[in-house]
Amino acid sequence: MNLRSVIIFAVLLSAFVARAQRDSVVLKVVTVYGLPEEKYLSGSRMVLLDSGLQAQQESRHLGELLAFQLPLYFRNYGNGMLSGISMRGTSPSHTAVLWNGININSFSLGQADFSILPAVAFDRVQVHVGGGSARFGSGAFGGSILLSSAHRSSAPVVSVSQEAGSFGRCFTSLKTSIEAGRFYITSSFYRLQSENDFPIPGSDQRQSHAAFRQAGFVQNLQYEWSSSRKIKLDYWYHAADREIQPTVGNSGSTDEQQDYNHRLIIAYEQNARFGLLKFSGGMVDDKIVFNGMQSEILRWIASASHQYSFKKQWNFSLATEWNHVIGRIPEYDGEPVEDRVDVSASVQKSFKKISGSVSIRKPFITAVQTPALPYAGIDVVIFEKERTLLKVRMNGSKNFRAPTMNDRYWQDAGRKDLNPETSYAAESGLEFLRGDKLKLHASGFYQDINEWIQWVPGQNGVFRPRNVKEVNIKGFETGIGAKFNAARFIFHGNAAYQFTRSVTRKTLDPVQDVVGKQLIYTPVHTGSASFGSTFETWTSGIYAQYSGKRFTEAANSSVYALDPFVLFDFSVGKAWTFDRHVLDASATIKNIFDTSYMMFSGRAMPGRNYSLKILYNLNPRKNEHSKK
Amino acid sequence: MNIQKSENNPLRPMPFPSLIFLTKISLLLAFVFIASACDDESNPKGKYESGVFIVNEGGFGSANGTITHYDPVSGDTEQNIFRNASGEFAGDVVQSFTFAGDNGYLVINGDNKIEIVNGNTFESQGTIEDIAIDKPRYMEVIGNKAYVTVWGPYEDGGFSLVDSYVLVIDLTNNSVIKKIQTDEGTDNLIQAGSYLFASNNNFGASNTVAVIDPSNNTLVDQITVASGPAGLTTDADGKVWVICTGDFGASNGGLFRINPSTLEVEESIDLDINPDADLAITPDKKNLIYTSGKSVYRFSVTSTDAPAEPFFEAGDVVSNYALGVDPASGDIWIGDALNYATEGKVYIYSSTGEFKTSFTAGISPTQFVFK
Repeated sequence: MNLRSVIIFAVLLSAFVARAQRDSVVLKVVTVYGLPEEKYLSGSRMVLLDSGLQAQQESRHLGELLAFQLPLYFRNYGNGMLSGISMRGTSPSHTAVLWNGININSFSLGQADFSILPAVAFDRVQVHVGGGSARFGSGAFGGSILLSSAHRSSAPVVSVSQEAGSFGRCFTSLKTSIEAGRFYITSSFYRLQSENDFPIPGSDQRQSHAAFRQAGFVQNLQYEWSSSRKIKLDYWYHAADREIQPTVGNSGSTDEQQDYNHRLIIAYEQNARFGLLKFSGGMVDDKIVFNGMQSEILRWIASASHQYSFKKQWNFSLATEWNHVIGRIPEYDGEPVEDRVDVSASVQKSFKKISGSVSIRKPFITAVQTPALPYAGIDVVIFEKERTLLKVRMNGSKNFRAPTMNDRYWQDAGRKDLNPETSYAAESGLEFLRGDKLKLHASGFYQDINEWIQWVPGQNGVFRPRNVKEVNIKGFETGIGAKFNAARFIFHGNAAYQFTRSVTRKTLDPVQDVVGKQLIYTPVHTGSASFGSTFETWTSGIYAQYSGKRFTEAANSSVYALDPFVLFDFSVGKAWTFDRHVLDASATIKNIFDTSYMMFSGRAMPGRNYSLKILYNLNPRKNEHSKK
Repeated sequence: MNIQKSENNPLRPMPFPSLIFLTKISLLLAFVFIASACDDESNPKGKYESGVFIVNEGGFGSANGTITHYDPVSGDTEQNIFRNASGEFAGDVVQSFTFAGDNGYLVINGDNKIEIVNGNTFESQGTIEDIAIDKPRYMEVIGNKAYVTVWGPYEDGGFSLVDSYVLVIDLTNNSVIKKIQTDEGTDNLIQAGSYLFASNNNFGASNTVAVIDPSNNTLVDQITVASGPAGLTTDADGKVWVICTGDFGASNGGLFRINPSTLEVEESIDLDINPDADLAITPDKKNLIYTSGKSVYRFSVTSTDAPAEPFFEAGDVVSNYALGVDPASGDIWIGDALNYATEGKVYIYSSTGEFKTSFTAGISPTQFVFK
């Protein structure tokens, strides 16, 4: 593959050609310079979130969307509250979330809070399932979530949406996308608020003290000197202010939290005979103010990468990234500063029926012993005839997670000598495609996590972090996607299921009752399904998520377990197009059957609730974006 | 062992009941009738009329505090009796439990409320909520007034206590009638003589015992002892004993004897350790029992020196979180919170320190109530 030429790949979303941007049935053309990430992860599954769905549910946070699309579990500490992901039987700090290539997990807590990642703030969401530290660095055990801004020529010049829903929910967004000479400027602003005083299902009480509001601003700026040289700026500011939803039955809670996140990355890209060269610099500033107490982690980031292809068959990638991390948290000893440097290399080779890749990363962290992290994967086409394809894939990787700043610097508790967590992961799977009508996949996965860090009570009951556990994860997942036409209807459906045994194999903690037991908040059974239909300018969708029993007590006592639940959402919409103007109205019912459920012990979630949305798009003039 | 009610109903309809079967049924019925009659005789008011109640805090912020019931005759335990009778977990961080009259009162620290149950059946009798109930700790009942120690709010932008008090609640209508200011971190409380004594702990930062006159609900005195007053008990002479946990890591805990009439500190004992917060007394009320981790100490109330050696070692205990002495048998009970994330354990030792038995309780067992 020649890197000088633009690689165009088509992402088939659901069915046919676009009417409105919202339609989940759009054939989109995305321009990517260099090899797409998944090429360097042969043998893995990379899932692209349906951009139509993302647009329709832009007011929802990413966790709310993903749980209906993939077999994932989210520990939500209430509605709109802290939300941590559990992917393939791992904990919330074991999924790396990257925004335009930079890790945006909290460096103090380790996990990303999905409740403050609204779908409106990014253009593209990809999920890499399984171990991927060789490409994505620290924390890529269960998987990685890649959020990116992408300039799209077809993006509306102006897009305005307004949503209103139950419990005082109100969402507004405004986006503009302008092309002026060699400049591409995309700006968006959004705002969400909710009283969140929902009636607690199965009780005569309403939820108290759970109101939240969020607002954000996203700016993408791109300047192209020529088709081979450009500079890009991506900036995202998100502010959240929330009352902390107390446990069911609590009265008089006053806890409040504000989050302020600044993320900036400026990148220079040069496409030339010698390959694709990228330099970037940026910063991430994460502030959490809890009851007036501010914690801040500031990071300065610089990176360089180069990709080169040889004889259209071999692809090479070399990259290095530097993070300068400053912890300004009152509970820390002083103001710790840490440097993290990663160097990585990847090789990808495609044969006729086989595509393979090998990657290796070596992280360096101030005063932490870190291992080298290899990844090797292969895709083999077993059978290919006309539109039918059967593929086998497998991969193996070594992964790591760096101890968090809290683990290392918390006053009188943190340990600077903690080892990073490491894991060996492997998976093997099959994929069957029949054109774009039918898609099946199944894989088995295995992961051993060592040196698992946990805060355990020591002398005088003081909790301190230690490398205590060995965790073994075995499981399989399977999914089906299909679509078909009947008369003027188009139907498309997806369903996925995962079985995961995620078990503590060994612990240095004197409490041995946990050995052989499933990790807390990691369901053995998880599922998701969606079914959509389109009739002319009408669309509708039914979405379901299922989670089996979850233990909340480490020795798996049934007394404390959360009951399994299935949730169903339904949405219906209609679009009207007048020349360049598109008006789109949709209605959503969430939790149709008013199911009472909990994602975290003691934190209520809302029953049936509604929202209405109106979206207006002004599309670009034809030919306006024609130059390529 | 869990002895939750069986779902099996011996009276469920049978498609083709034979005569023999019917006879069996009637025999069974008779048996059930007799058995329940027996039951009624021993526990006419409800299945929790007697026994030991283990208060389990639950996971912090997880709203899963529970009460475990232990039957000392059969050795059977029943977990989560509050939910079994009332349908829900007791709440977030169940701090303490107090029986008074026919009722039981669960002080829910994390939820800022007090759950009222029928003391014999554990059926819910309502909830006491008030803006002033902010991090409640312990409760004593005198007549129809409840006295609840309350930590109160944290300072703005921190975790220091700034306004602690004892609340007086009228139990005839469950309303707060008075707030009696104390030093910060007021905690355990006990009735002795004509006063109530409340230890002001504040993680070792307070050093007084508040004295309240319940006849007019006023603060009479705050008696200075040492850093971290915690558990309280009364001895055979009616004297009040308070244990002070000392300063963190300083091994300067102490025992103090207070005369409940003159409010004088009559005796002070340096323990040369940092003891745990609980203080218990043997059935004859002549020996105090306290712990420091796995070490269990016994101190004669007539002694003037701290014991040089522990009475015995509770070797299997990982995280000592509760201490109690059975007022009937003198058995010494220790609650082990393990890692605070798994169900805790209860260890029972005889009055002479021999291990007798242990069983599983709930998450973070924190208090024993013997009834």
